[in-house]
Amino acid sequence: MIKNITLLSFLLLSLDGHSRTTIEMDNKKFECEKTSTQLFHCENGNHKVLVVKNFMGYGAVEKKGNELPKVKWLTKVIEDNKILYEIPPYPGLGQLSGGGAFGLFKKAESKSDNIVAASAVVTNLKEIKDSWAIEFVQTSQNYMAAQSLIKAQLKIQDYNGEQFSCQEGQTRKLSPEEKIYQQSYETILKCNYYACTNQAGEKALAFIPAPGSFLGEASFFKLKGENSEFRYDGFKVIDGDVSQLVPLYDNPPAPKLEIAQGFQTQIDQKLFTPKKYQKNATTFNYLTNPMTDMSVQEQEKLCDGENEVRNLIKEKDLIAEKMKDDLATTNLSHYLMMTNGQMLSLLVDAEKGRDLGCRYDNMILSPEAAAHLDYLKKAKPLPATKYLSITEVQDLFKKAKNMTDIPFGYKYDGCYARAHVMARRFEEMGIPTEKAWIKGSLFVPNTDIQWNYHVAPVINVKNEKGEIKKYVIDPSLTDKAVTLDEWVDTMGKNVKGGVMKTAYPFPVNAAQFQRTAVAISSSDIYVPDNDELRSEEQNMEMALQTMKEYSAVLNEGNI
Amino acid sequence: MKKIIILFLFLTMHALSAAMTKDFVVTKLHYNLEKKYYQVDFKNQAGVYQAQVAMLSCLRESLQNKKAVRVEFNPMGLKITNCAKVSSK
Repeated sequence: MIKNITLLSFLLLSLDGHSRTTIEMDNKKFECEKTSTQLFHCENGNHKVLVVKNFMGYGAVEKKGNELPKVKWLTKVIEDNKILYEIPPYPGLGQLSGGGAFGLFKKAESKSDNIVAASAVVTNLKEIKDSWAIEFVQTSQNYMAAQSLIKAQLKIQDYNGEQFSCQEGQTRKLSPEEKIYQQSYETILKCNYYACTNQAGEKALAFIPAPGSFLGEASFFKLKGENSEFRYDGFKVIDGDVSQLVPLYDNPPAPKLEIAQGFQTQIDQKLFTPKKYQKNATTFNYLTNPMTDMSVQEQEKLCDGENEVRNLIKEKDLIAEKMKDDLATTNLSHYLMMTNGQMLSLLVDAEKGRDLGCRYDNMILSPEAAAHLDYLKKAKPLPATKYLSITEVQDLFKKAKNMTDIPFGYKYDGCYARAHVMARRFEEMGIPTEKAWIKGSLFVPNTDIQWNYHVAPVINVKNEKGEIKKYVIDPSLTDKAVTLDEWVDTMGKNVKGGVMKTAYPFPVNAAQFQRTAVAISSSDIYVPDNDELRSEEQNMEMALQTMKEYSAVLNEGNI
Repeated sequence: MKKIIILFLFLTMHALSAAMTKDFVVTKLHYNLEKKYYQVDFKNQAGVYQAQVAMLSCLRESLQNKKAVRVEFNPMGLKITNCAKVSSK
């Protein structure tokens, strides 16, 4: 086999023997020897560049003297004066970081960056049987192995000069399952938190994962009550002498860095922040936003009981609780905006929201959202012209409950399908129907069922006193038709604040503000996101298919 | 023959577990400290799904890129048992 590969390489080399290949990278030219159709060895002084032809074009790994090899971008590949590959100058080149096959990596400034860069070299070259590839992989692996241990004592240097001394937290005793997990995933489960203090006695909690691990970025939290400061940037982590040239982490100030919080990445976070926390909007949003990926909390649980790290985690949690209490009482506005062509419905701080656009149906519309008035009009229920009596609405509930093709017993999901089919059948009976939507952190009491949102059909009812009330028909949740307020009360809510009645589309971040949002729409709305414009026939087809699938689940389980 | 037996066992196991497979876009990931699993919201799905850490990188990619992933789950409890990228081919 090896003989065959060698012979093939020789033949390919012979075929290309007279061609002259050069590459350009970092404004330098390199002369290359083509070792096969896929690989070039290029040199310029003590710089070696291994070029690999791949599905994206060409990738390169450079090694300067004794430095670590690094994945680089090629700008040009020329063979016999013919340009085989060229990428135009890009202003961000060299500034970006990323992964994948021959991705871009910023200039390594810390051990962490070096480990990430070394890992990229190994990932890209480990399958390639070439003397340079083997050498580069070996050098990278040796570096990674030498850096694998983090010291129990570290220093954190703020970019404004402040310095903290940090002590690693104790790892709690691992369960047998966790020990198996460590072996299976070749990882180490440990407390990655450090308790830090500066000369003035101020405290900070630092999260310092092993560089290159999947646990994410190092972060730093200065505990100062309402003025606490959470950061991913603006500090260095030093695992030796301060004068040492290469810190473990070096996260320069990056004002544009946003916490990955789904929709919030493109929106000014101050819109979601009460006035008193405006100066620390990033910290506030990090501590209060349930959209934040909470894998960090899983890490906190690895730290042992009674020590300074645990005390600081408790202090941080108390600050977060206080902020959540403040959120629950903040005055809010309902704001509609467009992002990436999709309408986004949000609660924002009332004071900030005032100047964001024009008013429509108790909402504030951005100019872009105002261009979608047709959708908003379609979503709004028509003025009621017909009312059922209490007796009639209870009869209607019984009829709904007897619709045997609707799996009311399957409560985990599918309310949107049940609501749509019921609504259309009620309308066929000549009964105008709307839909009630509830959004928040919801659960069905005494079950393990949690809902992201819930929806059910609504009927306008005139009671004996002549009062008009909205009644909800939801056989999956109640045993009779109930008023909208009773229906809302039926559901468990994991938030500190109250219920807000809003226009449709309901605000998707109600739980972030510790609220539950309730909205009424026309029966035409099938699911909350309006970016998938489907016809009524398509919606009904999907609804029936969903009910068929969930009916089958119930039948299989004999429930 | 061996392959047929393996395929048969695989299909039988699937039938017993009654797993469902659907393509979803993740809109929220939240670690539930008390219950020790990740809670996952998918675009337009009303139920909150559950996932263990092994699924995290797949789900997180969907959250960040707003692209659908293929999710296998147990419909009784909405426990995610598998997550994979959806092939564009």
